[in-house]
Amino acid sequence: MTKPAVTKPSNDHPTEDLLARIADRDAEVDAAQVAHVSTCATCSAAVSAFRAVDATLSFFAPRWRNLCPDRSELFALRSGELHGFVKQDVEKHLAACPFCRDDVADLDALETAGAPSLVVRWAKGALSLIENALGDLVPSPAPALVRGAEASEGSLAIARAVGDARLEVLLAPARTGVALVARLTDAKGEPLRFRMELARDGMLVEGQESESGRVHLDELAAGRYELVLYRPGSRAPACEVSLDVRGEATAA
Amino acid sequence: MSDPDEELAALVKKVRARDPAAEAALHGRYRRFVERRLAEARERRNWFWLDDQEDAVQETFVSFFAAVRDGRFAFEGESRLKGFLVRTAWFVAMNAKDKAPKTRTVSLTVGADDDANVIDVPSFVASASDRLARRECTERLYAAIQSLVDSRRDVVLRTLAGEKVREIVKATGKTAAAISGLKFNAFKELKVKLEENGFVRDCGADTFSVAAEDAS
Repeated sequence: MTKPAVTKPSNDHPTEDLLARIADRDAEVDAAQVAHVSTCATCSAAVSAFRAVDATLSFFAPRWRNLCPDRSELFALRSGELHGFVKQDVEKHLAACPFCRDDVADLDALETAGAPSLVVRWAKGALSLIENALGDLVPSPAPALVRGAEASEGSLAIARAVGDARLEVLLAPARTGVALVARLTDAKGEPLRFRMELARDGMLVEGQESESGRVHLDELAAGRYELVLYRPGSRAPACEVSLDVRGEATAA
Repeated sequence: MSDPDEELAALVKKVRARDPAAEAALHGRYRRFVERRLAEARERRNWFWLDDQEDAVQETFVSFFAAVRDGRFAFEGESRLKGFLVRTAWFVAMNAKDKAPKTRTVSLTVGADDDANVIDVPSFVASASDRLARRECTERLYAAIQSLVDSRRDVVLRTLAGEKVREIVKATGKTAAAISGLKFNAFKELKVKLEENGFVRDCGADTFSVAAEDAS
């Protein structure tokens, strides 16, 4: 049985940016540099110190919710069960924390769902029927969003393989902004389930699960987006693509 | 209590006594109610992270029956029962949201304009609960961050906001080497400041040493 090759540590101390990358466990750093750190007390201490600060920042980062009140307190606030300084504490936090505000908005949606929302859905459905009917009478403007493409359901902005599946993203003008349709099919053209997230400048803009292998988003503003696709049962992205709503798509 | 309520009260009492038939009866009666509420909220709020709605419905009832058996739910009418089911469904949905990939980021800034995706740092720090004994620690940490020079502070705040190096590169236009180097020096300086202002001694003794152990 052959022994695994042992990487000879580099004699040179890694530069600061390399130390940061080694601390971040960047797999693309040269193995000799990584090996040096494990043999050098100074570099090893620097990496440990970096990771300690990084972990501390993680603990206190707003998105990990370690500074947020328990959700039972958010619920109690909404139900009118909190009083005095506890109520003030939670209200003050709610005003400052978009994550907690998001949770409370989710609670509102659960509590107020019911007949009124059905009426709204019916109204939207009726409106959609009317728009579709009018669409036959009023020609839609020719889309000039993707160069060299023709308008059909929309212009094909992205077409690429995702594992053994095929992803297509089409763009078309909507009443306001741009409509995006993403669809994922298998080798036989059958629709596949997926979840799609759209972000711009690092901010999540939309996230949707496919209905019959298709996601339809309306009223997108022009700009550069990052589209991330997830397959069922996997938390790792299956595909990440950059998309310029007024230009050509480029792969990430 | 009205007759229907009395019938429900009897069912709840049987659930507390671990009667499976009573559980099945309550489940059959309110399953559609929970299903509809979750489906409508999911659509309205775009809960893309709720992969399996049926699973969420089942989990809601499992939690509800456990609450009845433990005495955490007392029947006081159908309206309160439905309210408790909604509350339970919310907790189930929020647990699913916590497990979803953390793709959402927020910007951290000082003196933010009103923007749903921006956290105004001073307001956020001041709102960290005293009852969690973390406000003073948070204040010291953020004060140390605020005292860094602009470029280092920016990298640290972006890291706090959840941005990876490649995202910071895209946002700032600097090279990856420049960002990694900035981050290294920023963290080095921050560690010194946190030692000087007593954060490591008073607050970081647990988090810092645990972090160091995890780091090794």
